[in-house]
Amino acid sequence: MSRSSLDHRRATPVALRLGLAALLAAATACGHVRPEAAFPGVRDAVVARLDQRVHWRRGTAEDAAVDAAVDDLLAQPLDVDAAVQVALLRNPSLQATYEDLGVAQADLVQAGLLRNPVLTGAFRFPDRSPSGTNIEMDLAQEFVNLVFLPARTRIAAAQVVEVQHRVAAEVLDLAAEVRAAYWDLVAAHNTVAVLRTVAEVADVSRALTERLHEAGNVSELQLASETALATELELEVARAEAEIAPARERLGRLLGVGAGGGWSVPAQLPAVPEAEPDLPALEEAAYTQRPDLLAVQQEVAVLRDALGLQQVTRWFPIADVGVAVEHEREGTWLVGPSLSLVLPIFDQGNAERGRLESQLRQSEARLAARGLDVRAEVGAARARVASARAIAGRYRTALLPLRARVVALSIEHYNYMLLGPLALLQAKQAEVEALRGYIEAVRDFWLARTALERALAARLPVAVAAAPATDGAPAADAHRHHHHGGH
Amino acid sequence: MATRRQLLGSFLAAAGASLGHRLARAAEPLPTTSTTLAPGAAVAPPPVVTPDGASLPFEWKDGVKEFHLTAEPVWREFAPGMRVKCWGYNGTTPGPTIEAVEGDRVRILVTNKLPERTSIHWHGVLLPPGMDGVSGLTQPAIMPGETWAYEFTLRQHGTQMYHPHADEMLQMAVGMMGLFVIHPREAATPPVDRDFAIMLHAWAIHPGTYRPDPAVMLDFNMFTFNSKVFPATAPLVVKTGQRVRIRFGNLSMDEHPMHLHGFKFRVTGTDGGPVPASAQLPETTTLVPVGATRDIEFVADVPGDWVLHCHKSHHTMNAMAHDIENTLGADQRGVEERIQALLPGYMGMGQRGMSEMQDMAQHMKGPKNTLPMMAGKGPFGNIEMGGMFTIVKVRDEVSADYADPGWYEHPEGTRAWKVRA
Repeated sequence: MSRSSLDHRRATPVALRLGLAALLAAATACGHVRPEAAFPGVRDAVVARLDQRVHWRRGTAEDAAVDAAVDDLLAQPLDVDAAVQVALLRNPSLQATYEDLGVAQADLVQAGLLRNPVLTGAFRFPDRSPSGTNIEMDLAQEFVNLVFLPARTRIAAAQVVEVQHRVAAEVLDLAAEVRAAYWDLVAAHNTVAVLRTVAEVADVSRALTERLHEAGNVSELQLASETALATELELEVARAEAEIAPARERLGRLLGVGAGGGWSVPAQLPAVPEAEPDLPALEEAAYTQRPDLLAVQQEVAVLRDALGLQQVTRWFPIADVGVAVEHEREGTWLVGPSLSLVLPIFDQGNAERGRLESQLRQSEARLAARGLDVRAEVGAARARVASARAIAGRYRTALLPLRARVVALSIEHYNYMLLGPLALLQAKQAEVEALRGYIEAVRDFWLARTALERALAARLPVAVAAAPATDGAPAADAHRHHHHGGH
Repeated sequence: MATRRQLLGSFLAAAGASLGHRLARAAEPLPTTSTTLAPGAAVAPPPVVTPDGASLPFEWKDGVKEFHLTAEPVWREFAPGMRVKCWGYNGTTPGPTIEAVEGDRVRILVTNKLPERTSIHWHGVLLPPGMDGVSGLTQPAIMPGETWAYEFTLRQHGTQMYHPHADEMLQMAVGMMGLFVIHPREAATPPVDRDFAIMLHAWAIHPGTYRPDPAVMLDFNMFTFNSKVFPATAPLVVKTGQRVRIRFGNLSMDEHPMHLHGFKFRVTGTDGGPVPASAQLPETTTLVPVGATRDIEFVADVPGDWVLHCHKSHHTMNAMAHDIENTLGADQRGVEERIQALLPGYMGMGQRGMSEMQDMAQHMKGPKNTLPMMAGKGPFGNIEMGGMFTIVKVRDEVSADYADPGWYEHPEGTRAWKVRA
């Protein structure tokens, strides 16, 4: 299917006609490997699916331009697409994976090369006259190799395509991993911010209880209880803070820049987008564009081709043809064709055929399994996106406003001394705890969406929604109308 | 020093005409006063004044005074800013005061417009058992839509009450109650010039709600005179030197020590009848027990604005919570700012006491349909009271209809003065 395999197919009859010498000359000319030749296929696949750049660092001038682009991205707080872009350009594991393309490309070149001819020679020196050296030389070329060279080349080319799919799949996997790590890190920051507010509310409760205790109004028991609660929440903050460094390490590793350096992520998760793209259409696309699925399909095709080739070659006489030259002691030169023939008595190629057949069946089964996997992954991820969207939406449109309403009404009750300050702070505590639940729901949504993007081998476009503040700080002037004068 | 109304009453008593009774009602300057009681009474007593309420009209039918009570849900404004969905009689709670005279035969028609059965028990009235109004025991309950008649001859005088004796707990908790005043056939000696009737009650109306909660047994938060709270309670206006009777009835689940400033009084009657003169202790406070009435009498011989209130100090607040932190003396400086960062508009309260509450309440929003704890503006500032609180206004000159004369003006040198700031 690649152009090179077509070329070789066309070249085959010519080679047979021209004979050994001409072929040798042609083959000698084909020994140069261009490892990057297969890369554009990967690049195009990634652009089609992610709309993002990939770059194979090969010590060219382009490397510096890519580095500058990455540095630009890193200078701003990263959004999720920027994080993925940095990883695609910087992640060293990906660079290692790209070398698979070089290996496949080399295999392809190798497949297109004739086996080197074998020159055997024997010099025999008689111990008596008539003197003169007996020279025997045989230049032989494996005949089968010659005949099936185009077919092998075709298979190797197909394998290059398979490797391209596998590399593209790894790029997409990395993108998904980066996204997941990104959401985890932003969520960790966001959770810490909210928990700090939760802890502050508890600590203010404690401080107020301390003042009430100092005034002789509450018992040491109540003060100890409030202090214990505040301490518990302080510990919860510490536990949440401890999640940030590992999350940053993980994302930094995937970005290929490490946890150090000046890069940053926003402090708050983006809100759940209001609308979702047309998922059924994307789902259909998943079956035609999942690179891992394409890779297994290609693997089946390659094995089928290889098995077909083996069916032919096993009955084809394995023979070396060549030119034999002998210099008799008498001084005569004997020149003539040589032929050596392998007799298929012990090894008739059955074992090789069995191996290939097993591999083919294995590959076909793997293809069926992967098809099921894709279906299940898409289904599960879509369900998770839907439920996470519903939960986050319910938080945003119902629970958060209700909790804010409870706080506002609690202030009204507090104003008339119908509610104590500690109960008022508890209402605030419940509001911030709801925010914490909301952040978890939003994180779950983005993680589910990342899983769906991975399942669909696509980047889902985002319709930006207005985001409520999710750091637990009160919205500016939120309760201002309850303010009273004279203080 | 008889009032115009008293004179008119006396005239009608002499005339002895039921037509005259209707004329008298038409001439009533205030709806809060009763009809005249002629011709059943030998001597016309001054009509009972039910502050913020009225007496129940009646018709003579074949020598029987016929009254009509309709039990029904009613809205009652406890004070501006608070309307309560109660049950009562004839559109109000407490129900209108029934006035009759010892010896009268009375027939009281009771129509039930409640969603559930009811009955009326004539609390303290001596009558045949079949008229006692205990549903299930002395009669079947009055079902919704039904009208029943109670008829009996009054064999006593004094301050009695009426209330349901079917689902009594709930129906009384939501306001079904009324006073039943039986005047003596013979003139009281000495006769009173002003005769007030006040039903005391305690309610649980949770902040932000409008319906009394009958499940509450102890933790009431609204305490009323005739289902009004100060500063919406009507003042008791009296002319200097008048003999004043105040009748208290109590169908709440709390006892109320009623305290009058400025005078000493004697308890002259209970729901059991007149108290013998020898048993009338001079007092300034009398406890009105649960399910009882007390009549007090005094001569209002000193003009001024004199307070009449329940001496349980929580009963002179409005909508007070009883389970909040005590912030008195707690220094909130530093903490207050931190709370404000979380809750803009928060202000530490109660550190120096609760006086500031009345000023704050004017600037701060409270729960719906909920009155601030303290209220009332006097000529010298905040009165800081609510609930069971009113003012007896004694004046040398009063208008014919005893209209509120405004604040008392203290003669020079008779008021407390500031010595140093």
